[in-house]
Amino acid sequence: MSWQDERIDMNVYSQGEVDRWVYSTCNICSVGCGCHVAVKDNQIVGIKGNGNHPINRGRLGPKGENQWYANNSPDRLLTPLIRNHAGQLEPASWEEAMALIVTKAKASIAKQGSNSIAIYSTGQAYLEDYYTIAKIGRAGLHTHLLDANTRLCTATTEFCLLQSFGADGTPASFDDVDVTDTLMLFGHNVAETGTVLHERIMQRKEREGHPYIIVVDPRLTLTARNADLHLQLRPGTNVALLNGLTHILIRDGYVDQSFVDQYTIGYDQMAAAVQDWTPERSSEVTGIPVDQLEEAGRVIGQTTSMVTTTLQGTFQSADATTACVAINNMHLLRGLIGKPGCGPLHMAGQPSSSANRTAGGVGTYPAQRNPMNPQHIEEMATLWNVEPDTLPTGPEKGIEEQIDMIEEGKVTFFWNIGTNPMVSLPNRRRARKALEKIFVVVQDPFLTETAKVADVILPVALWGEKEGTMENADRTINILRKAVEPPQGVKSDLQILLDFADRMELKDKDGQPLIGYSTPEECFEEWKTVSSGRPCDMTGMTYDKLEQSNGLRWPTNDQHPEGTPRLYSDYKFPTHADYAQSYTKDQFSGRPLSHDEFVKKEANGRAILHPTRYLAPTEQPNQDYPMWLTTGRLVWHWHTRTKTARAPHLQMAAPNGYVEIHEDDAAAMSIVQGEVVRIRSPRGWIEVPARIGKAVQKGLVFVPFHYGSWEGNQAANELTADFTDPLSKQPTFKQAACRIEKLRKEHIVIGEESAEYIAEQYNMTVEHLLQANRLNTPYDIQMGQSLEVPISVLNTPVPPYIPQRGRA
Amino acid sequence: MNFLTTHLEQISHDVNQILEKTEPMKHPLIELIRYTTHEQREALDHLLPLQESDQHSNPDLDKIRPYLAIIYQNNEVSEPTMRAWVRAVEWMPSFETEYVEEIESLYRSVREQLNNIADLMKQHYGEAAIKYLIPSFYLGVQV
Ligand code: SF4
Repeated sequence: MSWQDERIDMNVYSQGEVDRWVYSTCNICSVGCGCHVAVKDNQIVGIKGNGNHPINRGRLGPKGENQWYANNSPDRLLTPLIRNHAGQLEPASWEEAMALIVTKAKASIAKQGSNSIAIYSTGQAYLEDYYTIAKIGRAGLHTHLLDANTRLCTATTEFCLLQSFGADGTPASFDDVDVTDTLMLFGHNVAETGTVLHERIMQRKEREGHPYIIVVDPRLTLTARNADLHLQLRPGTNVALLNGLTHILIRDGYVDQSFVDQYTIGYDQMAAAVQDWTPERSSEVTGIPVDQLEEAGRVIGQTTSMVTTTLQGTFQSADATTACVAINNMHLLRGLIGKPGCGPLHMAGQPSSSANRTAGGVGTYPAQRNPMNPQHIEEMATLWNVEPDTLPTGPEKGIEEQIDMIEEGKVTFFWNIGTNPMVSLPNRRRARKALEKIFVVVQDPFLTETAKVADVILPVALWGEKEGTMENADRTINILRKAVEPPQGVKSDLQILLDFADRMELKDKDGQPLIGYSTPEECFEEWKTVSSGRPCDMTGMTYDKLEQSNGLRWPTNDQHPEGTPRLYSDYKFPTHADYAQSYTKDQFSGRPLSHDEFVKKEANGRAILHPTRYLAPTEQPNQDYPMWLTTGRLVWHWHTRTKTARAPHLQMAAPNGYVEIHEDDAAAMSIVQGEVVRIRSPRGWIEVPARIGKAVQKGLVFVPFHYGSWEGNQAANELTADFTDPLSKQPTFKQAACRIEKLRKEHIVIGEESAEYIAEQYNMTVEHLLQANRLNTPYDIQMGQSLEVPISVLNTPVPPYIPQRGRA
Repeated sequence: MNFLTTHLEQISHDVNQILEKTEPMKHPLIELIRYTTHEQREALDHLLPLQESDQHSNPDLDKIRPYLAIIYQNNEVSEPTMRAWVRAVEWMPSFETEYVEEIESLYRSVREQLNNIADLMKQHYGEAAIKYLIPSFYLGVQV
């Protein structure tokens, strides 16, 4: 274990001692830190890290420590809202709101069929909610349109794992990060997105000098600053880099041939695909110098253990799934999987997005069942006691395809649970226009930007106000106990779903209620039966055991009563056609293969090496839009800030959006530090202050995507393009084209006006005034001269987060 | 000639047209579209001769299944790709923009034929037989 000892991070605001501490798990990111919730007078008043939890040993990051403020926010929704004929949202009773939802759902099915209903959920809820969505959606409503915002954050993880290994489940775990010699963080800015994991890595690095860290990122992020080797590639060239590295591994004889021969298929096609990817060609496309590529190839080729993590820089980029598959290929080629310190560790974004994938609330069927396999559908029908013919089959549809279907009039009922798509979806104006046309239910604790398109809003319980489990990025199932009752008038997601199922009179084939459970724990017990015998087998878990063990990694069953830290240690992969979660897809086009095509591959328990063909980003800079645009996260905020903006400390740290511009680009345009500029893409524009420096490479700008209010003109997703990866259908937020427009007014110098005087009139420094006009000294200003003055200059200091507050 | 032939011939014509029109295009999404369309072309090359041998009876479902699957599943991926390409070339116009209407109309035609085939297959073989072959989105209103 990397942590040498515990350090209890605590953030409590209470007069006197708290009444009790309640066992829980952080509900922000996919690291899954253990914590206890402080309760006083039946109110949540703070949080402290769980010193016994192996993931964090008491540590919490800034977002984790401050998440509880949202619970007490005065703007919590306390009653359902219904949009009236005048277009206003007005308070309504639960009875009225649920009755309206049920009427609309029934009408939609009667008129347009089952597939006219789409449920779009989240990665922030609990496994029990997702399983219930899967059951209601598939067995109750018979819709095939279940998706979630996990499509935006973690879909690529799922599909790259299906491609290479036959089933979801990331092979390595955080334990492997603790002992590996080489850690490649591929498009994973862990210092800002998973601060506690970053601290864990860096403490070991300080102590032992290990691991050797390779960071792949077009930006010089906080993570990249700590790297031994930073491969600062051009946007959208991940596969060109990975093909170059794989070429080196093969060229220099680093392939573990006996591993490849025994445990994989597809070597020849894979090798042929990288044959022409010499370091020179890779360098030409990626912009990474050849010697750096050779060095990376040598390190990866010679290391005896390696973990590769991936996150949004891979998942939200061009060729997302192919890049992750190329990473899997590298691990397989080197035999670096299934052993301590080895394996791909494809991360997740949100705290329970993995649980949504596992439970079948999104993508495939529950417990990694293949929706194209009749046998798996039969199993589900037996488990749910419904007729197999009623269960929808075939490949899933992602949110962007659902938007197409809404535009075509095929989807007329959209149930949005615990997510804020009007800030998080790319090209959000298009999504708004589509959703405005249909009946939209929004289930959220707050009036978010998505309320604009809602017909009904249901107020829901937050973390700490309900019980359930989550799955983090390394397959750990953690439990969250209920600390307090939700505010009066507020229900949990599960309560709402059960109420809906009841009102819809959803029945099994014997006429009994489809949903037979009424509490989260009962739901979990049913879920365990569904998981039995599948890769994610959880039959050896109970709520109490999860608490006592501080989380367990699946599979946890009779064979593995204490969970499974690492998958595939026997080098047997779930690629038998009757067991696999997928028959896989064509690696280039994303076309789902049929049973027979998959069987022909003869994987039969071996991992699959795929050819990785590079396809340039869909949108690239041109004359009108000469800059690359990329979007991302800040250490101080999470997603659309629904919770973090309500935590005073976090909001104060980073209250505004901005655009990061390379200093040479800023100088070329005479843009000054903090100057408000307009960023325009073919979709729209925003106006944000410039942060000038070297964090981005020349020709690239970066905009954090957290700031999405309709009024603020800072929403990154006004700019992004709604293109998706062909396999995972994850949007490519990381690459679009844009231009920077200066917002200036004219000042004609009158009489003896000095530079100081003019600068003061516009609240600027003299230095900025001179810079904005490319003048060297104040004496260059002449009477009658026309000067350009930025319309606004705003300082946007983002304080650095110092993770290592104490030595562990 | 059987109940599928005219529809498949129409798809064959549309697929040829898509390949011809997109030949000079260089957009990355066109690379994907052409890849899927080529696969459809190959599947049709297997399917169409089978129609002749099954002139008077229902085609043998097991024989046509693999090729029809390729045609449907490729349409599932290439339709959204085509729509993305339309957005792309409208945002960043090039000579390809001039072909938007033609390509859209060819896709509409393919879709229409695939919907027709789906309904006919359902009539001839029953829903259960085609459940894993034809995505439910092609089968009209399903309750
Ligand atoms: S690292 Fe993630 S899980 Fe841990 S405290 Fe921070 S936000 Fe929470």
